[in-house]
Amino acid sequence: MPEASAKPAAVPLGTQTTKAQQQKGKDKNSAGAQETKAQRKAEKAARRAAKVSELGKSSHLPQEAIAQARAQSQAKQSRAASGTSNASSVGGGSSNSVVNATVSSAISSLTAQSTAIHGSDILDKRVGLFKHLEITRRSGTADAAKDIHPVILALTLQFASYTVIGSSARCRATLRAFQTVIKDYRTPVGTTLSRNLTNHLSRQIDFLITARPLSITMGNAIRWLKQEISVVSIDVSDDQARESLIEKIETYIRDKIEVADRVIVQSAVKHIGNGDVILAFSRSAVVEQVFLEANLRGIEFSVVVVDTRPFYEGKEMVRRLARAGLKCEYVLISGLSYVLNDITSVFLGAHAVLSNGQLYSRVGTALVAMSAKRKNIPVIVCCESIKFSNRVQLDSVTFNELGSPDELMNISIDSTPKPGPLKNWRDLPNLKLLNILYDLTPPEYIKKIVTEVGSLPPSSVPVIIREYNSA
Amino acid sequence: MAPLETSPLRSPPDSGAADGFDIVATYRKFLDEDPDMTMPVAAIESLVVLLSQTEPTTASELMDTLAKAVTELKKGVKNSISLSAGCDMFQRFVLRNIQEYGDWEACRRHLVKNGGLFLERAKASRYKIAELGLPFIQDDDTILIHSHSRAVTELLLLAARRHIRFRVYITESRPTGEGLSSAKTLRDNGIPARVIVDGAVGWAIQKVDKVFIGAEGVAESGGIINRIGTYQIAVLAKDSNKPLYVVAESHKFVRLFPLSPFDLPNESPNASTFTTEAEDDEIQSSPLLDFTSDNLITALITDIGVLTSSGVSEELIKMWYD
Repeated sequence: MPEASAKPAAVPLGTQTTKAQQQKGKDKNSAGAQETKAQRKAEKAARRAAKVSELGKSSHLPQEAIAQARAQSQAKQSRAASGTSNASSVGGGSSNSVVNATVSSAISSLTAQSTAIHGSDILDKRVGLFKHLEITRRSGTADAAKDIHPVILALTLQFASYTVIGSSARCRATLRAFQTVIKDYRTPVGTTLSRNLTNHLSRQIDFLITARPLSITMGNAIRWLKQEISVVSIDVSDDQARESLIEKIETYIRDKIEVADRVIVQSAVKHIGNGDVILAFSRSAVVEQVFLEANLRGIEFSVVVVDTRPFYEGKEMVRRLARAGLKCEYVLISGLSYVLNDITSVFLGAHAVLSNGQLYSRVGTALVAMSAKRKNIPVIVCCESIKFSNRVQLDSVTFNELGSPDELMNISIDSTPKPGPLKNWRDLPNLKLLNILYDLTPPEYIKKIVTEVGSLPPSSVPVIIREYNSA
Repeated sequence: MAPLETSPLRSPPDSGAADGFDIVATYRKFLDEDPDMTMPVAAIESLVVLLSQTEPTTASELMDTLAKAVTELKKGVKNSISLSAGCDMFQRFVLRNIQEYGDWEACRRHLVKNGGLFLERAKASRYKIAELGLPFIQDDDTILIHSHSRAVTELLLLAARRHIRFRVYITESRPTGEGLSSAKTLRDNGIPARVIVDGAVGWAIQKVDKVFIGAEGVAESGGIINRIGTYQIAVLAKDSNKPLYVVAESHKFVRLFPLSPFDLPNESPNASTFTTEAEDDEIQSSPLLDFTSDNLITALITDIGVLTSSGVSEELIKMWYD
């Protein structure tokens, strides 16, 4: 019976659980056992085939064995469905054994190729070292619970499709969405706003996480918001409480993101002099603002933007800088060592700065910082204090985010997808693709971190966390 | 050190009304009168005198007067990094205290009195530092020092008084030649010394056990701004695994964060130009200061304790940003 399920079909107790074992068992077992096994196998194959045909878009089935197995499993399916008794199974027993062998090999490759509804690989295509980072990612909102606010649904899709991208941008968007959620929130009878709103928001947040894990900025903002909600006084009316919370969020966005950015720009712009050639990596909103401000002040400098696949975020940076009249050069990260000779300084953005001074940012940042340090080029990181995290991490593996490996398959340089040489990667049994989004830069490669509370060496990050983020 | 009178004000040298107040002249007079005084302390003394003479009606007018005087002072004095440190610190101190007092007279009296206290503490700090730095000098040590630093000299003199037996290499420190006056002070107090040219530090560093350096200013990163040649010594010490200790008062902590040894407010512009003809004052127009980054420094001995480089930025952050 065909069953559409996201997970591999539950195997009844008593049967061997891996395909290899089943295959081996097949060869060893007697005909009788083989028959029952054959039936179960048929059903499983039928389920998989059905699932595979449902998700036709994501599976590649050019191989004959697969087609053959499919035909055979469908035949089996019809036989099982028609409720044929053991007798007919016995009759087909000998031919079954041959068929079973092909079917089981077909099943193993099918299993290898089929994907879950939410788009991430199961079993063989996951890279072992990063298995702990796998999540099932959302691609649609049809199955959302009733109490998820539409603005959150929209935001989730924006996150999932990388439309809203970037640590501060996501934080700002989330907070704005929460403002709407709070505005439309009505306390249910029998509970208070200060107790219930937090739970309500938590459910929204849980839904948001299904698109992409929370960024550090979002984490900090949410923690602050929950704290603010919990201290809402009982005496204050719900309307007033909502008003004041919305107001507080507005102030938070203004202070921690917008004003912070302006202060950072004022500070960082002092490091740009006439004749400088500055290197920027990928796209950082703050760094972009620093360049635009320096340009406004009439400083004569040029920018080299280093970019990486698969997102090509640097292109947007170049577009905006060029529009403002800045001289820009664009190079992929493979050309980094070529351009480094003429660079005066490097400006980097951050997703987060960890408590031991490590910089957690877009993958490729560590490479740029290390190469710059080798050539004694100062590396300056611009980041708001909202990006500071209490976490300590020693490598890029323990905590990171995986993107969909299929994004690496696309070698297009514009928005129309163009599959490249890797388009059949799922067919190749020993090939796995890893699309990792962030990396960790050790503090010795960074000269200075510019925040809105001042410029500091990376070793002083815990001081800021202690003095300023003790909320 | 000259004893302070009960009224903490020094009589200002021939200055008339507040508008005729010449801050730079006052400052220089203070420095001349007391050879023991450091630049930032003299700056603060002159600012305290200014305070006692002005009649501002509002707090912002006071801050404004103060800011103008500070700018004038900074412009009028060459090589003014430690001076900036002192001035910024005093401005900060005034701002903090203004907020507490409504009545200007009471406020002014409080400020002047506390300004005096500050000066007293600043002068005493050198002795406090010497006591804190004493455990770092042991019998039979060979020490290297650079140029002339009163804090370092004070520390070495105290060690000699406590009967610790050590010897000192001193760099000549061109173009100022200040190393020679250091040598004289040490020798006069019975400490065996040897003056070497700046180029011989690489030769001497292996024979040396530790290096003591003073500072004109301590930057936000924990690095130091000091007489030219300091950076070279620091690099050599690091390479030979010899500890480098910076001896500096806490009022030298300055809000700068240079990125490289030459990234200092421009005071030797000629040193970056090249000519095909010899110039008369070529040696004199050499840069006088350089910046040593914090990774080359083992520890900073200050009057608020012995700090690591990250301890310095922590102190600075606590001092400035609240």
